[in-house]
Amino acid sequence: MWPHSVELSASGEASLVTRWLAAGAVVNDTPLRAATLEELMERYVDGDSGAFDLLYQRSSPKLFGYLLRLTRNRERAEDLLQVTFAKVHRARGSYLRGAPVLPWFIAIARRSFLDERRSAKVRTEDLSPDGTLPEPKGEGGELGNDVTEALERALGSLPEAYREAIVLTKITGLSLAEASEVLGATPTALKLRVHRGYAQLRERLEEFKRR
Amino acid sequence: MTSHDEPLPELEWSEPAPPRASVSAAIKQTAGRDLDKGRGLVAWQRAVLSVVVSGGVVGALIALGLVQKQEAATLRATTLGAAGWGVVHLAVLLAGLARPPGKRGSRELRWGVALGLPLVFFVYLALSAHSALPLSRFLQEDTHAPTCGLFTLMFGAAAAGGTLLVWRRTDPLTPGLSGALAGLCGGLAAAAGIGVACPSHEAWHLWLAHGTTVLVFVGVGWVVGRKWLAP
Repeated sequence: MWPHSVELSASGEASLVTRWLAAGAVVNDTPLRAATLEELMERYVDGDSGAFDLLYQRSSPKLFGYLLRLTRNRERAEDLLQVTFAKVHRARGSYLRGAPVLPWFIAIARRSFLDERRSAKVRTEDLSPDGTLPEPKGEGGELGNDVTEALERALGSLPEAYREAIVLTKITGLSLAEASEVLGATPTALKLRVHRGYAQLRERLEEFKRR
Repeated sequence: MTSHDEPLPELEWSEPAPPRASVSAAIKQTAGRDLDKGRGLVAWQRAVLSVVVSGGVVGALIALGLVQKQEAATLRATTLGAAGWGVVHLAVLLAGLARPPGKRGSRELRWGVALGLPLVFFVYLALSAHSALPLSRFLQEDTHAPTCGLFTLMFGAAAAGGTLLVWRRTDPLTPGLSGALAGLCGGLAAAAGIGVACPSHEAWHLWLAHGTTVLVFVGVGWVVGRKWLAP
């Protein structure tokens, strides 16, 4: 194991050691770069911080995208990302070998989101009069082009159950079985949510095309 | 099939801009702490510990049965029954808790086990009862039932609580369901064990003072598991 001071600089940039590991150095007989998320998690649990760097690098875009689409607020998504990884760190010792890592992380992220929303009682100033979250503000500029922006807006306007089903299965890439475990629904119910969500997305995108 | 049932063509979802560098740095700093702390128990070690907890409870109740000098034939039959439920307990433990989350089989099947096995246990109690009083007479005559029920609950709390503690923080996906299964294990251990220690073999007594414990701990496990088993 490497001393922490050697691994990470104050700015959080990867140290020489980390970069060397990420470039394909061999630890425990398998190159880190070729390791699956599950193998990286195993190594992280065994105390390898280089493995965590790669694990973070590979899982955080999906996790952050999921949280961003769930909260529709960049700061809240960043806060929740930190909370999620803090919980992962605390619970790493109880990670059971072979458990799929991404659903494990996403389930923790989702629970953190629900806990935060419950404790904040969905800050009333964030709600529209009908009790739903309003359209995101200030996110449009980061989305690239009009179609992408329209797609994200259409997704954001879907009911939460449909939006989450689509985000997990179509964007994050979980299987139906994994996503249904995370959401606590049957695979059939989840499939139905995805189909209904897609039908609504289609309608909203057609509206966008007509404009 | 309507047009709305057909999937949309693959949509190009944008990758959001990554979190700020300071956020990533803070996360990595947190993840770098206490890395030498090492891993907790692996699945088989937790399973063995769970068996030790439940086995300890059943063992204590068998010892109680021996102290009370139950009839040898009854003692043998109830001990065999407890051993049979021990095998069921082990199967639930291995399939429902020891396998990694996400690979534990369908949620419906596991709920079927969590709610169906207590019912099977009630049938077992009915078959092993020596007599059956009318309910009104049982309520008047069996003054021993509340004390026995309380004892069963206490032993069940020890077994189920121990099992829940052993599997703490291991299931982010279905913590309530896994808690219910842990409660089922604890409840079964206590209810099967008390059958050895308790001198009464009347049907209502077995159902109300012994059997309900299993259902109670499935419920308690579900509630507690949502807090304790989730990371």
